[in-house]
Amino acid sequence: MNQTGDATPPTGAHRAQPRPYGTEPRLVAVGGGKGGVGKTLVAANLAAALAQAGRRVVVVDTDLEGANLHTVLGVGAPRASLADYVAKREPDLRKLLVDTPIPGLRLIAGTHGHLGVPQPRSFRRVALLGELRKLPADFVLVDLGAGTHPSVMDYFLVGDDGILVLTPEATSVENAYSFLRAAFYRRLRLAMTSESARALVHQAMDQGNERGIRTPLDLLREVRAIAPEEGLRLTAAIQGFRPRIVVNSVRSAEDVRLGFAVRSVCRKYFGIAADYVGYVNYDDAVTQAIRQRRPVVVSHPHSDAAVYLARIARKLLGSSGPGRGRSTRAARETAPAGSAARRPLA
Amino acid sequence: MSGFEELDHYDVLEVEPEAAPDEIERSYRVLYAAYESDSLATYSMFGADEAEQLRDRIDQAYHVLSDPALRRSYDAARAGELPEEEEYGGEPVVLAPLSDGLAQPLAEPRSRVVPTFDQLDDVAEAESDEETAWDGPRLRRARLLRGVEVEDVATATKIGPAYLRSLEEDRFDDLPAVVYVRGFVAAYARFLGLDANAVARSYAQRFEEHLCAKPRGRLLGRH
Repeated sequence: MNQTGDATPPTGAHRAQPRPYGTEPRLVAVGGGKGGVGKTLVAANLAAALAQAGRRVVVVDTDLEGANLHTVLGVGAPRASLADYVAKREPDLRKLLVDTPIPGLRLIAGTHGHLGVPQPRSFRRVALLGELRKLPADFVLVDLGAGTHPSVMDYFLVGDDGILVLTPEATSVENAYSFLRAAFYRRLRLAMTSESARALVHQAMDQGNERGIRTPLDLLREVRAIAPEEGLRLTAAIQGFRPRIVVNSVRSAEDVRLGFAVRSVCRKYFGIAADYVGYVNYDDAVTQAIRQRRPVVVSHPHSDAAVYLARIARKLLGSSGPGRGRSTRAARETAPAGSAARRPLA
Repeated sequence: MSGFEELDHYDVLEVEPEAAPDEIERSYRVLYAAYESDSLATYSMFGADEAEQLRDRIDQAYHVLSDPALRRSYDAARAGELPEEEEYGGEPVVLAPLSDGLAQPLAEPRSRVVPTFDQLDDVAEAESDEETAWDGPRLRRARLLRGVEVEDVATATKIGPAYLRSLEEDRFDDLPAVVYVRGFVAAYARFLGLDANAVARSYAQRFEEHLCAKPRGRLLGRH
């Protein structure tokens, strides 16, 4: 495991932590449509950074076909995994928790020794989503697989925060939009109560639909025409959808600006208020960290990538960190109770 | 969400009606670049016509909001005709069962506002520490936060891009004598709007420490 001699307590030391009742973990889903854009990197490092800040964190690998979160975190072949829950071999998610070399961070691995485990079916999925909220942790981070399968979408929609990872490449940006579009319309469809309104949302997803519904605004107009109350519900569902954008592999200031442009498209095209929560520099330290099988915020804490990832974690904690020069309006609105008592990210 | 003609100038520029002039300026630049015809972020979502229409709207909005007099009269007119917002008064939205997927209702996520990435805010955070030791990567981060390329710094400061990169990567052996380095760093920092003296002092100190730590040549080492 970890042979570099840093302060890693014996495995299992953080097991004994108290589990206060009545506090649900905050569920953070990390997705992005395309494979290889750094979803796992972002999930693993945000989880590690939050754990370093003194939070109890569980990170879950839901990519059942290409599970490798355990490797990134330096956990050997896991003895239990989410596949056991999906296949109903293990009904208790807590029994799947595996310790990682990072104090305060535990893992539910994707698979162990099974190939091609199918995504959970709808009943199992809802049960799983409920169980995730019962895990004994302050944060549960969910690393999503690639693509826009309904199960991937549901993690994203149910999460308190949906993080959309993209890189400054045309393919990644296109897939990020397909991902957003799928999540957006699925959310709207789930929010409608009448079959006729649902049918309209379903039609709108098909860009070549006969009614000429091309944009969410067209859709809203059509839904309002058949049922004003559903129209209002649709507006509320749109306003409640707030993806967080992270641009990974940034090499230039132009790449940094991509996040603002994507945020603008969210606003102008979908009418949704996305947040650009940060970017991660392209950094050789990331490659080295993967080779060492440790998150870069642990192995190279002063590298560019680690500094940027820690900054995003701080945003999630709702504090702008030790150097709180100017606070944004958003920061003033959040300030979760009790956060001041915790150790801020160094 | 499309229907650009229905957006007011503030919506178009994606700023609050209270936005300061520099916020409007910054947002305009970001948006104008975002809707350029070859923009990575927008080409797959907006057709060429739509993008052009948006650029026109962005220009129009900027024209009004960047001119104090025009903005004042626009604000006055806008205050007079703000429509009543229709509020959704029903139960909180629940993500209900769906025939092709979910069989049970999903809990609606708890909505939360996360402090968003804001360039100035992050700059303040990154640089507020007075004891800050300024090294190359820190300079680079300060530059990226401001959306500035190395070439922009080179043009403004007349320092060659190769030197600037050596500065940013702490490649001390590729840099000239300390007096020049101090001058380079000061010019770079000033261009970024940082405290030029403090940054140059801190950087030069590390540079000199590096020089001292280097093994001396034979001639100097001899008694």
